[in-house]
Amino acid sequence: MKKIIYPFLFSFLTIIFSCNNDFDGEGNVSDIEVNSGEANFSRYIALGGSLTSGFKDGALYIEGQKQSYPAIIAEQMKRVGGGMFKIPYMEDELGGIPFLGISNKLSLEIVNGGLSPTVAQGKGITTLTNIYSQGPYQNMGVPGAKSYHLISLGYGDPTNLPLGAANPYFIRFASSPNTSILEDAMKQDPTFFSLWIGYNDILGYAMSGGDGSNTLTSVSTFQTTYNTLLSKLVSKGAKGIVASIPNVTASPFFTTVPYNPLTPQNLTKTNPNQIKELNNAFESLNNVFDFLQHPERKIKYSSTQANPLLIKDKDLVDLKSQIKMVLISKGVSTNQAELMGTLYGQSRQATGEDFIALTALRSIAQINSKAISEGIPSSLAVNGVTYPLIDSWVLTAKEREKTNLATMQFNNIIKNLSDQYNLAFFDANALINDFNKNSGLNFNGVNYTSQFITGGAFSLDGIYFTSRGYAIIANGFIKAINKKYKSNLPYVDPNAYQGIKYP
Amino acid sequence: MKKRLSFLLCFMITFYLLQAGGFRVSLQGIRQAAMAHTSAHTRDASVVFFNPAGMSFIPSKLSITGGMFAVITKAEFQSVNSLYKAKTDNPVSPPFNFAAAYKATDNLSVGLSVSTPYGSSVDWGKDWMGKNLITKIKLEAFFIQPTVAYKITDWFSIGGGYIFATASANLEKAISNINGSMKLKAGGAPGYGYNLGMYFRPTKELDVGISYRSEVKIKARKGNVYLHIPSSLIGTDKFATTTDRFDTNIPLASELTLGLTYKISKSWSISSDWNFSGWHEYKDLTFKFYQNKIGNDPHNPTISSSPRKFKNSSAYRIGTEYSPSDKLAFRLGYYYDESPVKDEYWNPETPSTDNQAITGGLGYKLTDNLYIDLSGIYFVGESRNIDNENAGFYGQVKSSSYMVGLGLSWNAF
Repeated sequence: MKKIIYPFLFSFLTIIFSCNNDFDGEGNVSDIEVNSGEANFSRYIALGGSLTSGFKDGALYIEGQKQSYPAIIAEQMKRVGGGMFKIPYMEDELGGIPFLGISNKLSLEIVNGGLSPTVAQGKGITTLTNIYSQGPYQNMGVPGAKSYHLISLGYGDPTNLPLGAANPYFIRFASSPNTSILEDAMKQDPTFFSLWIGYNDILGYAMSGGDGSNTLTSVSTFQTTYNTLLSKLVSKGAKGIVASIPNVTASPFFTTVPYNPLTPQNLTKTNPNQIKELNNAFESLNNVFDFLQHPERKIKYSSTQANPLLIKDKDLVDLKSQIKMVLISKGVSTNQAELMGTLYGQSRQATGEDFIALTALRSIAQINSKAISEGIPSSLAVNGVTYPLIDSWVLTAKEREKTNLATMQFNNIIKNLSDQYNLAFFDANALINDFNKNSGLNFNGVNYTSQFITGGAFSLDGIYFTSRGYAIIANGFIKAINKKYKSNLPYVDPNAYQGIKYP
Repeated sequence: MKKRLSFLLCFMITFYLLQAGGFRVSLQGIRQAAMAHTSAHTRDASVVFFNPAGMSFIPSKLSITGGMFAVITKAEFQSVNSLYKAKTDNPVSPPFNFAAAYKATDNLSVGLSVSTPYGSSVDWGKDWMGKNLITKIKLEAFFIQPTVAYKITDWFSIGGGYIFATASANLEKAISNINGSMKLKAGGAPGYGYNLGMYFRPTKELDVGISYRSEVKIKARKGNVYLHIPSSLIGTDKFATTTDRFDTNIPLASELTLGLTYKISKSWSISSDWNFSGWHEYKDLTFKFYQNKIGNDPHNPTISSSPRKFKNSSAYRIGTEYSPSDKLAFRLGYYYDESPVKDEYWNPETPSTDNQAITGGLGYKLTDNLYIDLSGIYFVGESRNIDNENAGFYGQVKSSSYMVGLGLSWNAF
């Protein structure tokens, strides 16, 4: 019997214990070596604008800088020869520069029984004192920098500030007043770079509702600038990655306020006859529009459906003088006719093609104090109801088309140049659009969408990301770097970074 | 050469991926466990759970048996993309079994089985990468089964019984998007079912059993929800209260078993089983909250549902018992137990893998009527991929488990 049992037992045990239970595929994680493939990560420099600096909640502050996407990438690179990654830290977690009127970050506070983003209390201690001596710095992202600013000499010169040709954030860590961001980057002899620029070129225009205060960078300027940047950056053999810029309309800053928030309930809250009164007030004006054969300008309020906001659209033909003339011919006083013409010459009710800025939220249906100070009666000074919403609060359909077109053109340039210079390319535009999809994106059981605040990806300013959003972006960069250079830099868990803080 | 041979054998065995798994705990008989938990054994009342018809063949008018296991399981997770790894730190689980069978008349037997055929105790830690899916879970279902068997001929018996089940579940997870966490606790959740069996002894040497245990749907109602969230969110539309209630249903799969035991000689027998589990019934894990709107259902925000989509699964078992003397028995077994979980829906609250196990044990006849049995099982949960797009959770997992059991059986008269 023993002759049968023991061999039987032995073979059983041999079988079981020789089945080694390692992980399939690439084996145990502890045995995997991180390698840099064809790239050299020993000196990584990040160039870019607000997105690169770690700007969030409307300010640049230490925590945001520590968890910026370049800092995250650099941390992963440290596992494979990545060197020091210095960041030009602000002096506190508030981010304000009182000397220049730059306000602190936004934080969620309880206001009137509800949570609202409010400027954080306290006095920011950051000044324009130059900290280059503690540098040089590898995260060279500068908040607000547009493409051509990266090659502008004197962008770090305090005397250029009043001219709008310098940037306080760069003033703080520039090596000298007459240097440029690109020059300071090249001084460090990078072996690897990331470049994410172009968003601020578009954002300024979009966030001011195309009111003329901030112009879109021209396509030719962007092309030559981007080419200059890349040709210089690769000139000493560095490898790198570039990324496409997001669509501004993918961010909650433009998608949170509906074009038609004026529901019958909202409008009749304090005055049950409000809607009737509004329609009466606009009756004569609407007759004028009919007469002028511009029925699309009529302003009508429904008592059954949500009503669109009244907006000013500077691309409309200005009917100021025609309105004035017709009203006078109907016996309206000259002053009154003049006022009506001025107010409603280029106004219309918004449509679903118009995007309303987040910053308009607080002002909608409020009395416009500037209008009152100009002597306009309060009944005609209600923002978005009787007083057309100003340009800077609205991205009209036409303005949006311009923005989207510019974004697409810039992104074509970025992709083409990345191919030309044989660099890694990260389609950040596509990733950020994904947050907008119905179901958003899921990471380790957490859902991220582009909803304002609750979505988790965008910070309290509605434009820039939370650190978790930046971590998701960092993973996008890492994936593209690994693909191009056959490295295996590890991803990070976005949930391990800072999200929205609830008090 | 030996290495290549054993590797080949290992490969062949691995190739026969076979099934059952999920959160089924197949430990309802100490002696059976030592023989790969095969079912066609009628030495004592433990057969009440495996096949009620087997009661008719117990060689004693009254049989009482009981036993307990200590189970230590470990699951290891890793993500090659993030170079991350984590492992569970599970407490020891104590599944137990108790059964009694009494021959009321020559042909009629009545019996009772109390056991814990389903359970799970997993602790991944509070800070691991999957914390928003689960950090800790403890599930346990007790089955109380009154049964009856009728011996139709001296080689064929039928039996059946009722299942009263009561289950408890505790689970904890993080809610990172608000820097919070949640604990769910439900106890005394009932379920009902039945079991049926047929037992054949066509010759002295051969036992064949067919048994079926129906699905038992556990219905947890008014469970407790404890939310740990920032104070500014308490009382908002979404988080009405930090102490809410919830309902959930958990299906415990039906199981069909075909078992046989063949006596090669007076002292040596071989047993084999095939179990088929209807896990297909477990489609999703859904919680209905009473007040808080923390669900993901677009039509009803108080309902949170995530897909599980388990598949039917089988286990193949083979075991043997060798008694060199009347008093002593040596047992050995081997089984394959396939995971009912698909890669696309794998969730760390049920860290299921395809398992290969080796079992072994000893039995000693203390007196004419009293047996003591000791058994041990070691199983290896094979490395598998996790490809859960729904949760955005990817990686690999493997597991292992040690079980030690001790039991007593008393065949009174």
